[in-house]
Amino acid sequence: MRSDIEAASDGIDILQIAAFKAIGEAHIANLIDDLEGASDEADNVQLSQSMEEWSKGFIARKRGRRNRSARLNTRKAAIFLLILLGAFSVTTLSVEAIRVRLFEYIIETQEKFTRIYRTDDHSMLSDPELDINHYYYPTIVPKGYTFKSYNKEADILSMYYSNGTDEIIFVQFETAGDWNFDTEDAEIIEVPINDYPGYLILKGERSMLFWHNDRNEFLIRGLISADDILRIAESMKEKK
Amino acid sequence: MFFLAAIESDIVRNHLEEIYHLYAKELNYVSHGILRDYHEAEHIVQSAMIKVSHYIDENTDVRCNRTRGLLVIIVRRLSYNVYNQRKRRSDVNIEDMEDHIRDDKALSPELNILRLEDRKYVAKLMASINESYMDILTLKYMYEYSDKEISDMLSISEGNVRTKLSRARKACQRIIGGDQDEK
Repeated sequence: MRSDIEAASDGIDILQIAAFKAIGEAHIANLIDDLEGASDEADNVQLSQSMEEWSKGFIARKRGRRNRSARLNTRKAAIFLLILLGAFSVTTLSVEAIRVRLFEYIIETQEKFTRIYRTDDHSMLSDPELDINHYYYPTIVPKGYTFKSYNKEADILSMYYSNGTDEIIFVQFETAGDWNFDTEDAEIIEVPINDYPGYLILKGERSMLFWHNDRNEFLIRGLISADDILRIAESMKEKK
Repeated sequence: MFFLAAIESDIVRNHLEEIYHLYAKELNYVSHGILRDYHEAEHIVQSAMIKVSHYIDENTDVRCNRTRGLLVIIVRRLSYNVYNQRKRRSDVNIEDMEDHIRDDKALSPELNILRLEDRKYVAKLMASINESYMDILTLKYMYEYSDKEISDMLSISEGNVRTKLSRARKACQRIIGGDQDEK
């Protein structure tokens, strides 16, 4: 929400803000008038079956995500409580025991709430500067991997990264697809990627991650660890 | 704690369901009017639902014009993002026109005494010059969202939000000053 500091930094005063607010309200009133005028046409819009299914899934996921968030917060609180209890009983613990407890807490924080990456076993990448108007690219890849090539067919952009022997493929596409993955004997884990739902599929040494944001769907696969594939996904930047 | 979170979650879920049933067709209509593609329009509506879900809580009045207007603004702006990307178009002409507007921070005193009946006219005129400016001005001053929140909602950079806000304020001053016909 807007702060007074932000308002002051705009160099405008309260009366002007009130005037802009009033004009904004008038804009909404105009907008609603226009909508009401076209209500018959809007009522005739037929939503697709896939849209209806999406809405049900989205609302159900929203519920799941909020519950999961509540669970995480509670778990976080429990960890703090554990630390607090540890502090009270400090006289009964050895220095080594306290270290172990703190170390565990940091690891828990890393895995559940704050991801802090070591960069010594990864390489930072810059924009590959493709001859395409808009795309996403990873800024972190496992050490030894570099950008090799790309391929664009219809709205599907595939980017290839290689360390000389193995390959990581990063695919992005705008059109919602119907994908079939070979998940026999695979482990499937739901993972949030920058607040969007994703699915991590682990099969032997091979990892695959599938997720989306508001604009695109994405797929990464390669002979890399789950941790590496998540780092690649979360490092993604948008080139406009 | 779990119980309260579950109740809040159910209320929000019900809000989202109601928003979908009340406005999905209308939002699709708005987006289709810009993109002329039902599939893309549905994709835009889905994006708008995801974005607005971050700002819905148990106190949200789903049926009020405030909520309806917010949804329409988000859908409209996201649709134009896609439209401009698709056509590789930008609103250069409008930006050029706005560059002629004086770069004063102190706005016209007329803004402060704007009569109620004039506001709709000013809003309409502003929207006719550049609808995105009016949308962003509304998100900022009526909905009181921060630049960052507007940037997230409309999938544009914070710098772009600030630029458009600055130009929207100047355009407002220009219109109220009676120079709106100068281009």
